Amino acid sequence: MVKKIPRKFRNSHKKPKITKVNRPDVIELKIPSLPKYVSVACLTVSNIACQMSFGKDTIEDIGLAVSEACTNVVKHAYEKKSASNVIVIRAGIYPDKLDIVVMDTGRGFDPRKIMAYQKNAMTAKTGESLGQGIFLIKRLMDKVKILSRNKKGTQVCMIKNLTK
Amino acid sequence: MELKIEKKRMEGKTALINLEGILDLYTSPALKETVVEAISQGDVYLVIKLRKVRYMDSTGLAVLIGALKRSRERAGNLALVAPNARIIKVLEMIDLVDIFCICSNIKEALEKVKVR
Repeated sequence: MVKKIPRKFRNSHKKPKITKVNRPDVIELKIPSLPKYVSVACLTVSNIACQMSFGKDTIEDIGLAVSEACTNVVKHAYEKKSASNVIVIRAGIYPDKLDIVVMDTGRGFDPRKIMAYQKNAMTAKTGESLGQGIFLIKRLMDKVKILSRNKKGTQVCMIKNLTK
Repeated sequence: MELKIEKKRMEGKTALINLEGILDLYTSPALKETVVEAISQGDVYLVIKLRKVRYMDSTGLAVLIGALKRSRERAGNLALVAPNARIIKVLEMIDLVDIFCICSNIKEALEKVKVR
C-alpha cells in the first residue's frame, strides 16, 4: 500500500530559496565621551566615506552628522563627565551605502522631546544644541533612526546612500 | 584641533573677533568666554570674522546665537564676516541664515552692525 504524501511535503525535493544578504565590512571605533575626542570620530568616519568615493560635500555632511551625534552623547548622555564613559561608532560599509550607528550606555532621553524640536525649526533659535544637532543630522543624512531607553543608552542610526 | 581667537577693541562700543580653525564642542567655550568678556567691557557691537574657520557644528552655532542674543539684549548687534560655504549651508539647514547680519568684509560689517 502506497502512503499518500501530505501536501506540505510534496515539493520538498525543491531547493529552498536562499536570499543573498550583503554583509557589510564593519569598522568600529570606541572613544571616551569627552569633547576633545569628538573630532577623532568625525575625521575617522569622513575618511571611511572618502574611501567609499562619496563626493566632497557629502563627506563633510557625514562627518558633521557623526560629530553632532557624538556631541549629543558628550553633552547629555552621562551624568558625570569621565573618560570611562564611552561612545561607540560603528560604520557598516555596503557597496551602495554607509550605515553608521553612534551608541552610548548613558541615561537615554525621551525621543518625543526631540520630535517637538523637529516639528518647529524656530525652536532651534533658542540655542538648544540638542534640538539643533538632531535636526541637523536628519537634514544631513538620508535615513535616521533614534533608539533610546531610559538609563540604557541611546543609538543614533543613520544611513547615507552612495549615488553614482 | 584648535581655534585661534584674536579680539580687538574698536571705536564705538565695537569688538572685532577674528577666528581661525575649528568651531566645535571642544573649542567653542573659548569663543563664548571672549564674547562674554567683550560685552561685559561694553562692546555690544560684535563683528566676528569667520573667513579662516574651516568647520563649525551646532555647538559653535549655539555660541554665535548666544552672542547675538546677548548683544541685542544690550541694544547691540552681531555681524559675521566671510563665513565659508559650509557654514552658510549649516545656517540654511537650520533656517537661521536670516537672523545673522552676514557681510563679505570687515568694512561692510562695521557699517552694517550698527544698523538694525
